[in-house]
Amino acid sequence: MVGATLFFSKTPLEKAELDTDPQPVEISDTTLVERARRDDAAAYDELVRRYQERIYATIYHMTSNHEDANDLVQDTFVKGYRALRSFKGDSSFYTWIYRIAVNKTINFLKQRKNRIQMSLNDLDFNAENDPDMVALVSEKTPRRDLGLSELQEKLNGAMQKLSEHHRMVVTLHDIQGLSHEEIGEIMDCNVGTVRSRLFYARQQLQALLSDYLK
Amino acid sequence: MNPEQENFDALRKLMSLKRHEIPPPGYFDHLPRRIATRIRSDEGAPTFWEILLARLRLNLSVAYAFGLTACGVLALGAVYAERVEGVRAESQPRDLAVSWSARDAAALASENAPGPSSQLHVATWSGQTNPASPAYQLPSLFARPLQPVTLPTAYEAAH
Repeated sequence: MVGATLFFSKTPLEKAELDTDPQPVEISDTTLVERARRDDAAAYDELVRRYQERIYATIYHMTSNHEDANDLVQDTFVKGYRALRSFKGDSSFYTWIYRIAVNKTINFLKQRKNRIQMSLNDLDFNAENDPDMVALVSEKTPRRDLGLSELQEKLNGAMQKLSEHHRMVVTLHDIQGLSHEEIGEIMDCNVGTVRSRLFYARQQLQALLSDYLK
Repeated sequence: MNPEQENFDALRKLMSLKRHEIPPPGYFDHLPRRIATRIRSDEGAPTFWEILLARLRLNLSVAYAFGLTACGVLALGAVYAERVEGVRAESQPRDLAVSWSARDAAALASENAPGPSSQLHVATWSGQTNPASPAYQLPSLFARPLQPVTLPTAYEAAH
């Protein structure tokens, strides 16, 4: 849904552009935020569609539970809508909504403490064709005997052993592909802290998954 | 590339498995509608303060009862404290009051006393430790001479 287009009431300039250029104009986040502030539900709906997958994925990788992720992603967007008037625009909407999601998830995990109940999603069909995955299951290592779903369970189990902040950094960097700077902005810490957390988290994961990394 | 980095690369390859985890089919098609429904239902829902005010309004009699009870407890406390103070004052020994006043005078005397060199002529080394005794000399003119306080027991007889 990322990159979806909208045709709300256009300004004359936008209409002129549409007449001459057949390419649909993608409305910026800033415009959508302004419209959503004026109680334009469709504008906020579009913002949700743009970021729902990334926000859901972040929360899911943190909780390893689809039901919890579903509740938290809804809470995040509902809170985002309510707090939209206090959004000053110092950062992008994307960073801002991520920050809400991160704080909500960390608070939830602190309350949940050690009551970990994994409810893992299925792997898509591309997983078996992914070169990295093929390499993982075909090499002559102990992991060879494992199927992809067992490997997925081991990996999620290891992730759950990390602290919330370390898990978040690994999720945002190694799974979501965000830069150190973006993570620092989202987690409200400096780049050095992000780097050190990432290094420590990877070391821990390496120790926990040593059997599958030989 | 150092071995540590290489190992991290292996880990990152393993982590990429998580990118293939997907929610049930059609989940993202329904999510915006669910969020919109929640936003609409929350807009109509009363806030915390509204709920609190509504509850207070409903339980007005409880609030009155609580206020009256609190006032009653306060009044009882005040009456009880007054009585206790009265009993204490009656039962307090008078000697205690005398000894306290004597102690205060001694403290006052020691404060107004000159330095040790000029105090040598004062005959306070008589072994007398009672500052209320007549043998005790006050070093200051401003201090009152100490006398044991005796309260008349039969006031009319003195006249």
